[in-house]
Order: sequence, then C-alpha cells, then structure tokens
Amino acid sequence: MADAASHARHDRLAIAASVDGVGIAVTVTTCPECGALHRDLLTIQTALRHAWTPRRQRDLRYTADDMSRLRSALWRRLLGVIGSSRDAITRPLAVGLTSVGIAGLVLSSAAIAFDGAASGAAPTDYTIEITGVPEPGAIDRKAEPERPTTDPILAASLGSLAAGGSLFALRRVARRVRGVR
Amino acid sequence: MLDSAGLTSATIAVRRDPPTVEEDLRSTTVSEDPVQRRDLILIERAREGDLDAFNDLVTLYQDSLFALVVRMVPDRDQAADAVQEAFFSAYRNLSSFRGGSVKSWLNRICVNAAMDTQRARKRRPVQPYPEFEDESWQPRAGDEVDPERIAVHAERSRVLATALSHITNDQRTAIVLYDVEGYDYAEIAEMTGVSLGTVKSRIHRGRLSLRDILVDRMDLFRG
Repeated sequence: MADAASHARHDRLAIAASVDGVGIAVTVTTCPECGALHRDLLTIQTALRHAWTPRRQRDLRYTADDMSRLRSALWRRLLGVIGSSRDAITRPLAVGLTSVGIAGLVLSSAAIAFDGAASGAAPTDYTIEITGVPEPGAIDRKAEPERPTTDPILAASLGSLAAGGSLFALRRVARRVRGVR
Repeated sequence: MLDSAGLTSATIAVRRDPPTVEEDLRSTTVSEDPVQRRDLILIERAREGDLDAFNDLVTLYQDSLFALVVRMVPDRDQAADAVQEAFFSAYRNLSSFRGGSVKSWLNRICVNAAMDTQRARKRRPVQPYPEFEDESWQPRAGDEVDPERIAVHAERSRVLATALSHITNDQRTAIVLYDVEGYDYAEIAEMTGVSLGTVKSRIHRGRLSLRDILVDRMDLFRG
C-alpha cells in the first residue's frame, strides 16, 4: 500500500491516459489516491457524455436576403480565410519573406560598411603625375555624373521585407474584420 | 455574420419541417443509410440553388452542431454565431462536398469555426465566459422527466460547463471531440492540425485539470 508521500511521485498523466482503456497504470490498484483519481476521471468522462448543453436561443436558418447579404465580394471571402485556422500559408510566408529581407539588409549593410572601411584604409600619400593634356572630348566624358547603381541585393531585400510586412498587415486586418463581425 | 437581432426579426424563408427519413427517398445508389440518402438529396438540391433544401439541413443539424460548438465556445451568442458562420461556409462550399457523411462534413466545418472563435476571444478577452442560467439547458432526447432528476442533471451540466470553461481552449476542444463527440486521436489531430502526441497530452492534462476544478463537487456526479 502506498502512502501519501509516495503518491506525490506517481504519474498522474498515466492515470489520465488509462481512462481511455489503453492500459491501467499500476498505481491505480496499489495507491488509494491514484485509485480515487482514476474513479473521478471516469465519473467526469461519463458525466461529460451525458451532460446537457445550453439551449439554442435563435433559429439559424437563412432567408434569401441573408444569403445575398452574406455572399459578399471575393476580397471579403479571402479576408475570411487569411489568418484563420484553415490558412496554413500566409504566416510562414510572411515570416520567411521578412527574414529574408532582414538578412539581405544586414548583408548589404555589412558589404557597404566593408567597402567604406576598405576605401578609408587606402593609402593617402600618393603623388599625382600629369602625363599630358587630355583632349577636349575626353574632359566632357569625364565630366558626366556617374549613374547611381542600385545594389540588387539591397533592392531585393527591401522588396522582400515590404512583402512580408504587407502580409503581416493583411493578416492583422483580416483578423480584425472577423473579430469585429 | 448575422447578428441575432437581425436574424430573429427577419422572416425565415421556410417554416415547414424538413422531410422525414421515410419520405422523399428518391431512387439512388449513393447510400443504403436512409439518413445519409436524405442528406445527400438535400445537398444535391441545395447545390442546384434550392435554399429551402439547405434550410432543411440547417433545421436537422443546428441543435447538434450548436451543442458541439457551445461546449467548445462556452458563450451562447458566440457559439450561435460560429454555427451560423459554419452553415454559411458550408453553403458556399457545397461544390467541395465529395460525398460521405454530411453530418461529419458539417461537424468539421463547425469545429473550424469554433476554433476561429476561440482565437478571436483569445485576442480580445472582453469578459470571462458567462455562466449559463439554470433554465437554459437543453435535455437530450429521451432523458428523464422526473423534476428532481432534471434539477440534478441541470446542476451537473452547469457545473461541468463552468469547469470546462476554465481549462484551456486546446484542452477543451480535444476533450469535447474525444470524450463527447467520439472522434479518435488521429481524427482530432487531423481536425486541429496538431500531432497525435499533442492531442493525447491535451486530453489527459485537460482531464486532470477538470478533476482538480471539480474535486470538491464530485459527490454531485455520483449516484
């Protein structure tokens, strides 16, 4: 016979599992407290099966007007799915896009910082050697401003970040719409 | 979502009773089960745009689906909203019904709607679940009519519903689907989108939580 101190070490989850009839935990027969717990769990299970439910207070049938009102636009139906239990796509997609965007931004920033550091570390004690007078045409070409080059990684990262953020915002809006209704 | 005031004030399109199992059984090889044949006929008509046929399905299943959802979402108004949402979702997706049990199909849609409602409540915890009044209980068909027994049964149901409302949504859903609705672990795992082990854990931990809540009221359930 087990005492109260040893009962504290008994596996209550195993006793709860044994209610399903898969197998009886040994302590159910050897420990009085475990036996009482097992009986109570069986009693609760039986009571749950036979419990009454609150009475439904309204008729749930539809009128033709209800149907036309509820048969709403496509965007509203999409909002109804996004962020719901049936939506297994948007959240991982949003997380993935945002992560890729942040990673890309970090990489781009690191590359820019590295370039800056490299150019800053270049030797400054150089001499300018004029070897000749450039032709007029050559001066004009050099005077043209350089076109700013966009870092493709940076652009892709910003796009990914924006897309991820938009998806998060869309999920939030969808949830709010459903919650308000 | 249809608000309750709007719906009750509206005129319901159909006020007749749905067809009984015996009547209107057209020749079909779809199913030998008369209930299922009746449901499939109603689904077929609803697909053709017959709102009356769909409302017949609503009439037939609204009580059992409400009983399922109100256990998962222990707030009558929100449970009714969830069931109504589920019926409308079913109506919109009639074309996706691939045969089998209409009741199981509707059950699954209702479980999804109830889980959505649980999540919405979690995000916007306006108030704890209200306790149900004593007179609002719906006895099961065939239950006793002895007033004393009815009072005891109503009290048991009220205490159980209150205890259920105090465990987590996940545990409550798993327990209701397993212990009340009779789904097996695998079906619940598929319906709720979690692993088999998680389902078992939720059921077992939920049972222990219920017992801890009810430990001082267990006499009510004996005898």
